[in-house]
Order: sequence, then C-alpha cells, then structure tokens
Amino acid sequence: MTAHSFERNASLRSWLLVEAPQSGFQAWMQSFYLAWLRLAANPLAVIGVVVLLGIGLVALMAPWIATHSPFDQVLADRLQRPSAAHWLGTDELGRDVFSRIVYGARTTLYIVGLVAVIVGPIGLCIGATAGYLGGWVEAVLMRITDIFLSFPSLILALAFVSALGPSLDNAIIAIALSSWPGIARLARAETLTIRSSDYVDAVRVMGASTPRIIFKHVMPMCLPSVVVRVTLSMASVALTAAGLGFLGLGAQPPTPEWGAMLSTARQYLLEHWYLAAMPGLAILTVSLAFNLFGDGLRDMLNPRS
Amino acid sequence: MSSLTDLAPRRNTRLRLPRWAAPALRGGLSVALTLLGLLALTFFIGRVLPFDPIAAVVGEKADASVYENVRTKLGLDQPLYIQFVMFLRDMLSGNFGRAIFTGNPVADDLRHVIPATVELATVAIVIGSGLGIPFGVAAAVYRGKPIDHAVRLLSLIGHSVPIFWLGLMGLIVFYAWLGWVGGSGRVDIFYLDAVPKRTGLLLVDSALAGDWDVFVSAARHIILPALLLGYSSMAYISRMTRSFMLDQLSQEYVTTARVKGLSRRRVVWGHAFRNVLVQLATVIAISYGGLLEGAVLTETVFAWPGFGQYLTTALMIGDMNAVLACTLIVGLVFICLNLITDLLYRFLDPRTR
Amino acid sequence: MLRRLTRAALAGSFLLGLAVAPGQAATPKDVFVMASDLTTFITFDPAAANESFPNELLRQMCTPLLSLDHKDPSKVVAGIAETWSSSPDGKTWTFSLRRGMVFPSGNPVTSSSIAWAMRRSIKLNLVSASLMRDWGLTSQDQIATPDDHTLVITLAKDLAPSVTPFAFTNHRMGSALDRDTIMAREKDGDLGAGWLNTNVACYGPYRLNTLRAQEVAILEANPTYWKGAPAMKRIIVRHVPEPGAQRLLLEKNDIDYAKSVEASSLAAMVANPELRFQFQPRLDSVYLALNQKDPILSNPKVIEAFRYLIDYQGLRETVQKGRAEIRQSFVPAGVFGALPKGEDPYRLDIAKAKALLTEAGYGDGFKKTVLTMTNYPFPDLAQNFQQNAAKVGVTLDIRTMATAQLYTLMRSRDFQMLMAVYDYDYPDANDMALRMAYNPDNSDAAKATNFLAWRAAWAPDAWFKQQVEAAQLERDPAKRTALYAELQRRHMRESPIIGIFQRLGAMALHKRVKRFEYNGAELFYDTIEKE
Repeated sequence: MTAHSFERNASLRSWLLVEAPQSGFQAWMQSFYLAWLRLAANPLAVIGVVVLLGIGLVALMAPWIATHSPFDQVLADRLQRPSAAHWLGTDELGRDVFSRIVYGARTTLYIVGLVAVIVGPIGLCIGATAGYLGGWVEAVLMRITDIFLSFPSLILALAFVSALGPSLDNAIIAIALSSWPGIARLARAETLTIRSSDYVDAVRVMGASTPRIIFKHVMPMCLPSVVVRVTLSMASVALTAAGLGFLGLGAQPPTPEWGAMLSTARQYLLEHWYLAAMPGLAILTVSLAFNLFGDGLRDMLNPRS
Repeated sequence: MSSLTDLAPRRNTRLRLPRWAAPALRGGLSVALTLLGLLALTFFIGRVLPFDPIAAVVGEKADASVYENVRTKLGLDQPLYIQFVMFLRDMLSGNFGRAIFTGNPVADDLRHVIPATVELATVAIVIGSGLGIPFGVAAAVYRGKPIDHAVRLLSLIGHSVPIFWLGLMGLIVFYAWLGWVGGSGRVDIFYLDAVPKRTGLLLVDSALAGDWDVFVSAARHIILPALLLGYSSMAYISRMTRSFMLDQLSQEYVTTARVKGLSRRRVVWGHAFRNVLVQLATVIAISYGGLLEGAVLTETVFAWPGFGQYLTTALMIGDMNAVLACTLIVGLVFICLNLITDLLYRFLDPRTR
Repeated sequence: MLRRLTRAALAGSFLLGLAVAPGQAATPKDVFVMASDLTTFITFDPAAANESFPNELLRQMCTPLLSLDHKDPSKVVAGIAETWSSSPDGKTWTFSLRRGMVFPSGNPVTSSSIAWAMRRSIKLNLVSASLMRDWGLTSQDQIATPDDHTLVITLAKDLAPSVTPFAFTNHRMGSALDRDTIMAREKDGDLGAGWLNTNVACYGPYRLNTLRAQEVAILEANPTYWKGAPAMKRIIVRHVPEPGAQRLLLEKNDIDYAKSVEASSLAAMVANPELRFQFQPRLDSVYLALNQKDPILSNPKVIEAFRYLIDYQGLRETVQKGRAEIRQSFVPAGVFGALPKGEDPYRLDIAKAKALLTEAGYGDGFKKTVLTMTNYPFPDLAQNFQQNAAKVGVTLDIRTMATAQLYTLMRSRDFQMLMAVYDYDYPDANDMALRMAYNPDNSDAAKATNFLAWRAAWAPDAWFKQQVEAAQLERDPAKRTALYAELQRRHMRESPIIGIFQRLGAMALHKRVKRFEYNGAELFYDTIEKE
C-alpha cells in the first residue's frame, strides 16, 4: 500500500469518525461506518454476511457457474452418483443436481427477497399506526395480529397457498401473509416508546398532521429494529419456503427449488442419500447465514442482549 | 421452527402493555375475541381451500347423485355463515363432530393423538433444557470467549436447520446404517397394545406395567425425533438463558459477592442462576408450547401418530371438523402461555408491579 | 467449571442413550405383519367405502356372492353363493347360498342379510349405490328372497351373460351384513353408518379386531369360515407412510409384506435374497386427457401430435422400470377383449409432432396447463412430457395436486390437460369401453362424471355408441373380441384420452412368505402361507 493511499484512507477514516459531522450525508455515513465496525467485531456475523454475499453471487452468476442446464433431462443418465461429469450426481430424470442447486439459489433468494419487501412495509405500517393512534384502531389491529400469531405459521402458509393454488408467486404471498404479524407487533411496541417522547411531542405541537408524524417521525425511528427483525425472519422464510416446496405447494416443476428437490429425493433416500443431503445443506446454509447476520445486527443495535 | 423465533418478541411486547390485561374482564373478553377470530379465520380459510371433503369421501367413481347426497349430509349445501353458526353451537356444547378421514368423533381421535405428542414433546423438552440451560450459562459466564461463539453457532444452527431434512438424515444414519435407534412409529409392531393404556404415554404405561421390553422399544423409537425436537428447543432455551444470565451477572450484587470472596461457581449457580429460575421456567413453558407446532413436520417424517400429523392430514383433505378442533387447541395453548407469561412478568418486574 | 458443565449437559442424553439396545425377532408363524399407509381411513361401511386400501381389507372380511379366481381374474368362481344361474334374457339372477355360515356375533347368514345390505346401500345412496346403478340395480323391489338360502336379483340392463356375474364379485354390492348387530347401533336413522365407519359386521375369512387410523389395523381369522380357517390367525397392518421406512422394516425382518415399494428401490430389493417379489399387471390405465372444450386441444391434428410427444419407451425403461408396461389401448392386458401385446402404434417422434402441429396451424406452439397427482410417478411423467412439448414450442405448466382435488376438477371439467390413472372395477372390456369410449350425454348438466369421455368433454360419434352397446350384448366371445378390437383401434386414433401405461403391481414379501395370491384385481389374505 502506498503512503498516499494510506493517507487517503486515514483521512476517510477520520472523516467518518469526526465528532461533529458537517452534513447529513456525513452523519449517515458515520453511523453506517460505526455500525460496520461493531458488526465486524463479531466474527460470526461477518461469516453470515460473506456467505450471503456468496450465495447472492452464485444466484447472479448461475448460468456461468452451473455445469449443465438445470432443466435438460437425459433419462439414460438418471440417478448417477457424483462424478467428474456431474459433481453432485443426477436426479430421477437425469438432470444435473449441482446445476439445479445453483439455480435453486435464485428461487430461494427470489422468495426471501420478495417476502422481505412485502412484509417489512406492511408490518411497519400496521404496527406504527396501531401504536401511534391507540384506542379502538389499536385494539382491532392488534386483535387481528394476535389471531394470525396464534396460528402455526407453516400451517397458515399452507392453508393460504392451497387456497390460492400452488405456485411460486402464491407461495410468496402466503409466506408474506403469515409472517407480517411478528413485525407489526414489534413496530407497535417500538412506537409506544417513541410516541410519548419529547421529540414527537414537539413535532405535534408544531402542528404536524398525524400521517406525517407516523410516516416522517415514528416509522424512521422504528426502522432499525424492524430491519433486524426482518433479517432474522428471512431465515424462517427460507425454511417455510422449503417446507412448502417439500409438501409440493411451492415452486412447481421443473423449477429448481431446494425443498421440492428434497421431497423428490426422499424416494431415493436409501440408494442415493446425497440427493437429499445436498438440497438440505443448501437450505441450512442460507437460513444459517441470515440468522448469523441478523443476530449480529441485533447485537450491534442492542449490545446488552 | 419459526415459532421459536417468533415467540420472544411476542413476550416482550406483551409486557410493555400492562394496561391491556389489567382489568381481568377485558382480558377475558380479548381472549374470547381472539379465539373467535381464530376459529372464524380457520373456518373461512378451510372453506376456500380447494380441498374438497366430498371428493375425499366419495372418491373418483361416485355419480352426481351420490355426490350431491354427501354434500347435503356433510351440511356443505348450507350458506357459509350458517355452517359457521352451526359449528360454533356444536362446539359450545362440547361436540367437535366427526372427523371424515378417520370416521371417528374428533374428540376420540384427539384422545389418541395428544398423548403421543405430549410424550414426544416432554422428552424433547427434557433434552432441550438439560442441554440448553448449561450451555446458556456457560455462554454468559464466558461471554465473548470461544465457548460463547460455539454455543451461539450451535443454537443458530438449531434455528436454521430444516427439521424434516435432519429427521430424514437421522433415520438414514442411525436407523438404516447404524441400527442404533428404532424406525418410524412409537414402538415395534409386536408391542402394539402390549401394555394397558393408563396415561397414553407409552414410556410411562410400560414402566407402570413393568414391561421393560416395551419400554426399551418405545425409548428406541422416541429418542431420535425427541433429540431433533429437543435440539430446536435447546437452541431457544440456551439463548434465553444466556441473556438472562448476562443481565444478572452485570448486577451490582455479583460484583459485591465476588469482592467479598465468594467463589465464581457459588456466585453463578447460587445467586445469579437462582434469580433467573422463574424466567427460565417461562421460557421452557413457551418452548414446550412451541413444540406442539414444531412437531408437525417431525411427526410426518417419523410417522409419529400425534397431533401434528393428525392436523396436517385433516388440512390436506379439507376435513374441517378436525382442523377446527386442532386450531382451537393450538390457539388455546398459545393464549394460555401468553397469559402465564404476562402474569409472571407482572409479578416479577418491579416496573410493572 | 467448563468440564462440569459439559458433564451436566451430557448426563441427560446418556440416560436416554441407555435405552438404545439391539433386539430383533422374526414375526410369529401364524401372524402376518404388513406395513402400509393408513393416513386416511374414511370408512369400513361397504355402502360407502371407496379408498383402495380400506377396501382391500374390507374384501378380506366381507366375502361377496361370487369371487374372482385367485389366479385368473377373468374367471368367476363361487363365493358365499354355492351355485348361481340366470334367466334366458340374462336379467334375472338366482343365487343359492351356502348353509351354516354365521356372523362374528353368532347370527346366521341368510339371503335376507344380503338383500338387506343391498337395500341399505340403495337407501343410503353412497358410493356402492352408484356402482349398483351402473348395473341397472336401482330399486329395492329388484331384490327378492324366496327363502333363507335363495336370493333373486333382477337387473334392468341388457348385458351379455358373461359380463353380469362380475357385478356380484364386488364385496360392496353382494356381501352379507349382520342386520341385528348393526341396527342395535343405529343413531338418528343412519342405518348404522356411523358405527360402520370403524367397525365391520360381515361374513368372511377375517373379522376386525382393532382399527386406529394412522396407527394400526388388526384382523383376526374366522375359525368357522366355509373354506376352513385361514392359516394366518392374525393380520397386523402397521401404519408406515414412508415407502423407505417400509422397506427398512422388511429388510430388517420386522414385517412380512411392504405395501408400498418405490421404483427406485426395486432393483436393490429384488437383488436381496431375503426378499421375494411378485409382479402382476394391474387393472388400470395411465392416461393423458385433453379437454375438448378447449379450441386448440380439440383439433384432431393437435391430439395426434400429443400422442407423439410421450416418450413411452424411454419412461418404461427408466422412471417406470419394472412398474409399468406400455398400453396405448384402453383394455389392460390379461382382460377379456384386450388387444395382443405390442399393438401400441405410437412412439416419441418430435419431428412428426411438429409437422402435425404446423399442419394444424400451431407451428409456433401454444401454452397450456397440465394437472397431475403429487405421487410417484406422475410428477416425473409430466415433467418428461413437458420437456418434449417444449421442443415443439408448446409450453406446459404443471400443477401437481392431491388426488381428491384432482377429482373435483375432473367432475367440473375444469382443466385443460390432465395426466392420471384410472382403476377399473372388473376385468371385462365392457367396463373399460364404458369409461373410456362412451358418453351418454355431453352436456354440463348431465354430470356423467363416471365416464372419462364426459370428463374430457368428448362426445364420441354414433359409431362408438353403437359399437359399445353391441359389444355389451354380444354372446359369441369371438365376435365380442372383434368388436372390442375395432373399438380400441379407432379409439387410439381419434380419442382425446391418450393411453400410456398399464401399471404393474409389485408385491415385496419376505422370503418366508410362501404364498400370497394376487390376480391383478384383488389380493387374497385367506390363502397366505408362511414358512
């Protein structure tokens, strides 16, 4: 490393750590940097991040990483053991398992990503509204949340997906429908503590409208814990998705999906155990990475827990 | 699975809201409303499901006249709200109706399946807390040390592993390859009905009858599913233990005690641990309730004739009497657990007292 | 400190670990133990039973008037009726019953036990009533009992006398019910239906001892059965839903018979010297149906193109290896009226299919949905078909679903294409011809849901109707065979119901089971022999 770049790094570092930030942008960057420093101190969380990035990369580069097409059937080559030609063997229709697992990362990340995008805002809106308004709005919204919460989440997703008809998109909707309540509850709890803060009182006295207070002042304050919660629940989303696929209610054939692959492999368990082992490991890896990352985030935001 | 991660915030938010549960009447009303809502939701989901209980009853070969006849017999020709009211009326008089797929009254079926699940969950929770508590304490005492990270990793893997997959792999390795454990089901075939049914818990019944062959067979069958379930509850229990213990260990009395020369072991187990016992009991109760649900896929993989398998099968053929009765039970368990936690916390936490 | 913690943590698991000890024993000599999926067990009531496995068990407890030969299903032999005869017009059938038969309760079996069972079925109007209607038995007056040992049944349908006896080989139509026992349990005028859900009061080689859905069913031998008490004193059926687990139990000597065998394990299991296999062609057709309400799928060229898009040979040798034979005509091999083996004109031919589609004006392909079942081998068959279709530009979406759900969509004709299997009722071409090539009324209102042609909204032309009806009545076997041959050949060319396979039943037994008779239509537990 040259002296020059070292200097620039040092100045970047001091820019990020200066006590009185000069601009909003700098303040944001600072808090990100500080957060990153704290996250980096947790080796498990770093592993989580790295694995997630790795899986994202695999999903993105699937066509280049996969050795075969995930769809091409060669009946004559079915159920082959792992070899140089087929790294993880072939499935019951002679498709390359390694390539299907690589493409399966796309399916899983697609589900997890979309669910996060749907669930975060919905949970946040409902929770913040209920918490801020209180009264009967809160009573009604929280009763609904409770009802959804007392329902086993896999069963709820299962019921929704069978009502909507089995397909990948419906699985996403079903999982989203069954995972917003936890986030709503959290957002409401956060809102309750923010609602009575001096800062919100001040905004209210200045005549801000209720929607404005909720959207501009309450929600941003809830955001960090909601993000943590969403990240953590991504792990269980990946599991639920696999469970639905396992029960034949997720992605439909021939889409490569780990849960569905596991379900077909179950038939060949005794002769070809690796067919079931690999998709299961893939599910475990993704789910664990989300858990490690989310856990690190939680520690970072709330060092006491 | 996911239930375990979902449970923690449920408890936390509850305790910040004492005014909700404060008047007992309102509390009771809200429980009743939640249950009613839960039943209504289940009922209407059940009715929009494409699973057709009539098709399950009559199969492929019945003609249209038989099909209509069965529809009338099952009361499915009535408008939805009437079906729901009829269902509520039956339920209030303690009549869950008949399950289509077993041909038995649902109440009878439940008497068979619930003990099976209770037995599995009990062994699982013994394993889960037997491992989880020491691990959690160790993680707290050695915070930031390798053992802390190891416990955390172990528990996060417990949260992350697809339990049905672990079950399949466990069967392959320990049953098919090594032959260490029994296969699926509760007991070897020859021992079915070998001991008189007293509690419905096979381990207890066989011990009471002094039939150790049956006991051994039952133990060989229960150990693998119970270990798997126990592992997932261990994941939760060890995390909660760790955080409770950290709380205690940062208290002043701990420092004082250490300064006064008490051994670390005395302080950890004699003082700090004693103070978290009630909280731990709650956590164990919660994960015990969670096992009811967590057992769904495990029971399927191990062909365990319990509650989870019963519920899944009922749902898959749209057998609403059975599904609704099961939902009611799951809902009741969760609501009761929530109430217990609320009460305990109000009792324990000086800020809410 | 750390060591102590670890020790504490391990203590719990060691305690349970002690329970792990070996101990295997073979099944007792006079007890037959099997593993099967008992997940759903709706009813044992002969008037309503429709599921295949409960029916198989019920058949062991309720002997019908006549029986299929244990080896050759096309032969009818005596059951609880010792002799039988028909009137010259083939409509009135007289049965003379055996003497001295008693129900498990001790009540005697008489002609009125059977008559009551039949009348009960008609009154309840459940599945067996539908079966009886197929044979023209719709009214209680068609059944008469001149004395305790004589039963006279008059059918309102013209049929060749070689066909009708099959009606009485069905235990859901012609078996005896213990009226007094059942009516003592009647509730709210249900004719004992509630009690019969989980109980049996029939006459047969076995009687029911225990039944718990999702757990176990135990049958015990009837010592007074007319053929003599069966060699197996007990039949124990253990609920094991996973075929893999069933296989392990069998290989570990814990059971005598595994009901479900996976195609993937077949080769390895057949190679195991401890096991014994019996294969038997089943009475069914695996088919692909194209809904004729669809403007594209009703184009004859498109229908023909689809016949060339199925890899019959490739699937038979891989996915279906040892589990199915190619059968493009609708009468299964081994049944009266079946075409000779090998008369299956179609094979996978992508170029030909492409040419046909281009001729039909769909050279650029189209998009359709195929429904199929979730169980083996349907998702595999459908995916293979999907890939072949993709090669000619036809995009197929596959929807896998539970069987009951598929039935509902068949009943409402609410599908584009579906791949499924149909289990026939009796081994005569008449059954297959009625299901596959006959449609009494193609209107939606007719709801002729028992006819696959109606389900596919296919209205066969007048020739088909005449041919099916003529074959039904033809008394000369040679002429009858010729009629069915012609019918099947034309059906293979024109019908939107495309025959693919006839499945092979594979029975996985422990080698100590010396005899277990299966004729492709029914299994017989009463003649099981073990070493």
